[in-house]
Amino acid sequence: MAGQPETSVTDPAAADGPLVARAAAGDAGAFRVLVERHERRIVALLHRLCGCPEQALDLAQETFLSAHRHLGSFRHESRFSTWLHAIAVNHARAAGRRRRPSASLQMVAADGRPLIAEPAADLPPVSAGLEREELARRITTALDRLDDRYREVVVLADMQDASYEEIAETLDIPVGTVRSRLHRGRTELQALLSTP
Amino acid sequence: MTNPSDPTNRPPLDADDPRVSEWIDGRLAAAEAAEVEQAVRESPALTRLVADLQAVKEAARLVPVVSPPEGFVDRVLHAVVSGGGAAAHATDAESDRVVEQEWRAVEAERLAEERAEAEADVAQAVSPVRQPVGGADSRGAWPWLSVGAALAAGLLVTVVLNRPDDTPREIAQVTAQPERERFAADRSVATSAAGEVSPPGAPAAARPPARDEAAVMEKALQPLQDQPPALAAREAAPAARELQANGMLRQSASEDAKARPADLDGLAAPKPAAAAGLGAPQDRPAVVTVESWTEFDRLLEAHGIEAKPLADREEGISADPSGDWTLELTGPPAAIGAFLAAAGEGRLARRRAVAGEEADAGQQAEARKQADKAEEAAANRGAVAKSAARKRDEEAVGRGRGAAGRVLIRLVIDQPPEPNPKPEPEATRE
Repeated sequence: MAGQPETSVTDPAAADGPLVARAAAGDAGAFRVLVERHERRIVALLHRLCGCPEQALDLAQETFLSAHRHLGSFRHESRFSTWLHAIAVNHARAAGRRRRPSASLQMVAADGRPLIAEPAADLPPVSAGLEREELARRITTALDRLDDRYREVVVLADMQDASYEEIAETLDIPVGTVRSRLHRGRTELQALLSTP
Repeated sequence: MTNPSDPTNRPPLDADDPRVSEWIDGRLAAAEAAEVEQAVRESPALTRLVADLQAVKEAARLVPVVSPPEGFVDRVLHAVVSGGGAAAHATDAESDRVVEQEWRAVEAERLAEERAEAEADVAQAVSPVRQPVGGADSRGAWPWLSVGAALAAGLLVTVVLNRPDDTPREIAQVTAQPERERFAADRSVATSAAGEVSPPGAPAAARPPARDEAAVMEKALQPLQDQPPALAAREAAPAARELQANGMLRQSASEDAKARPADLDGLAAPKPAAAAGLGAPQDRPAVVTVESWTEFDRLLEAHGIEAKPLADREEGISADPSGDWTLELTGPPAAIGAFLAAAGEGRLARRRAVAGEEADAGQQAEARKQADKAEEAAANRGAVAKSAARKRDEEAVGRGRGAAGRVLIRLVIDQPPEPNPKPEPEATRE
């Protein structure tokens, strides 16, 4: 039912493990590979959490810098991607506490090229009959009004295709809480979308 | 205890059950998924809920995401190589600075709003609000009550301190009231008498006494109230004479002074003399004592004046029961004054004293003293009469009228005692 994400959080940990070790030892190339591997997912996650593309890029850079500084403390008990997602969520929470900017769907790069990429997946038209752009705008607005606890779970599950276990590990909450938060988040989001 | 894993112990599926989302995500086991699927088919509400949740999940995937620009990795690596930590800290510091500025702006705005709200509250509290009188909150009425009580107390103290002392005032009123009434009666009588006796147009007689004159008269008569009648009469005579001489008391000093049994005629008799020639009202005739009508007629003829009894007057004044006559002398005022000086009070007694009719030296001295006193009074009266007559003549001449004076006199015929008849011899009687 759901499309395949560009990169999966469930990438084999073994693929990132040696790179993490080398990057922690000071190998810039290894760290470059790690950044190139996770930059799109991290930027997309931050964009969906904070709603601002520019802030998402800044927060993504801070996320990778934070990961580089703390590579030595990574214990390899979880996947690197999960650990990286957790760092990104923390930065998003900190930014949200400072300021929650209004949602913006337009972002222009330094060369004038729009940074908004194609939809995450080629999906069939929405049966509700809403236009895609209008539906996307309304979902973005509804997500902004959604509680942080539900928004994180809904974004990780429905937009980042993270499993319940990965969400639980990323947010450091039980799987049962992920289940209840996900169901409650979806219900509230549906109610917000139904509200004119 | 219920075992969720036991299908027989699971609670019925409802809209809030997380298994709905798990069934949508395909995370349930086959048996549990079949159970949820059956419940969804049997419940329209669950069917509608599942459809809505699936639509939300699909729509969430339609939200566009930003792609990292080219060079993002290089920028990150450059930051790492050039001191990523420092760069990160710098970025954090810059962000913190921006956030702090925004926070300060927001805080300033909040403080301004709170300050404005506080000022509005203070203004509303300070603004005069009409307190309901007698209402539950009567604090606003206390100041007015205090002010009213203070004003009432001050007014009461003022009234008490300035309370008039009625006792002396009443005494003064009781003392002065009879005099005022008597003076008013005298003035009315004087006014009427002036119209009858004095020539018309006499200003002195027609003019009522001024207020200060009444006060002076009251002051002059005040000591008489506390004295015996005789003494009062004696003392009232000079006072009345003085008042008359000053023209302040035209008619009489006081009814009391006139009603006293003392013989004012013999002591002073100022009024007829003062009235003579002045045309002033005269209430008591001057006493003229002669030995006989013959002498009276001789004096009248000598002074060129006429005498007419008042029998034909409206008042019906005629001879007194004592035998005296009340006459009205008509003639020039100067002549009348000279007549009164020659035949007035005490003249006859003086003449008799000089003639040695009185044998007793003491009586002679007394008589002489009285005669001197009477003569002096008469002289004074004559002088006053002459002066007044002169003034009146001048006024009369000024008005083109003839000079004529009128004065009432009481004529006393005091015949000399006849020599004792010699006793007849018994033989003769026999």
